[in-house]
Amino acid sequence: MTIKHDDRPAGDAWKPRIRPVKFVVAGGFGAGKTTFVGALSEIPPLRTEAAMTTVGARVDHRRGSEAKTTTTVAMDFGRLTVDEYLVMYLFGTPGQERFGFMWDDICTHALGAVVLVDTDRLDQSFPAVDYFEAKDVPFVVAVNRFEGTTRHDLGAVRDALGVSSHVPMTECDARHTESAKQVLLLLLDELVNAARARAAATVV
Amino acid sequence: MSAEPPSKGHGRTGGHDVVRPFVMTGGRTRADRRDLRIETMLTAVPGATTSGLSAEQVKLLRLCQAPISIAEASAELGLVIGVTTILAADLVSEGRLEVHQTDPVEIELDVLSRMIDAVRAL
Repeated sequence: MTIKHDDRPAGDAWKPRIRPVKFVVAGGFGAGKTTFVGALSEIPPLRTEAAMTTVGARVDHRRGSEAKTTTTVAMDFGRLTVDEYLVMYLFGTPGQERFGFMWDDICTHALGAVVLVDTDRLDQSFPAVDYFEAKDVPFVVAVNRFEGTTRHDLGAVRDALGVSSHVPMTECDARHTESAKQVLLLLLDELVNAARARAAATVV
Repeated sequence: MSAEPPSKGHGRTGGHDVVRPFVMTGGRTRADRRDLRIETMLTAVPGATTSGLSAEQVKLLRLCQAPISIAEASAELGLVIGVTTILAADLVSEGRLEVHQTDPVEIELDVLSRMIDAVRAL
């Protein structure tokens, strides 16, 4: 059996060249990650599972499972096609703190990140903030304004989170596309500034 | 897929049987290619055949007739990301799947501009 292909020259004439650009949406449990992804994605968020292996948690000498404990964590993600050569992916990180180390699989080569904050559970945002700062992943912080809650003093949230003053911070309503858009645009602006700064440094 | 899994998942499995999926990969839990990430795009090589492939690999190859990311393929197949990655790595090494260029180069300003325009247009 042969897999059919349409509109594509055979052999070396065709080279695959779609560039996927990855963004990470992080935050504590219930901070609105999937809602945020859904507000921006052209498809309903997809759910997939990643296996998490804890090495050394328990010794088991059977083949293929030596000294490892494996479990899975669900991850929701969405897609935004820019053009035929460029597609953006938004990955929601599993929220639990104990899965922090598997973020490497998700975050490697991520262009940037959004940390969603639920001010009732500020402490749940710490792992994400710490992670992106440690890994030098550009990020913005968005305080998700849940229905019925009052506006927050972003300065107070910044102080409470211990986020550096150069990290952009904003409020949003993750349920609404327009609001989620502004958060992503804030991140993209930050990336533009960083790219310009790099270019300027190279010229000098 | 005649082999029995060594056991049900041990540890915290959240009700999922997580050992069984890796039977499809011969027990391997890591692909030996580092260029396959969750967002990596794959496309079937024109003319690739399905002979000798497992049912899951056939399904994966079919999904890849149009470019698709490993994450999306995993969601479609209902497989753990790691399993899809290993199945894909095998298909790549057999010349049935192609990996879209994934050089982790710095993003250019024009690429950022295209993304900004796309987001604004939402």
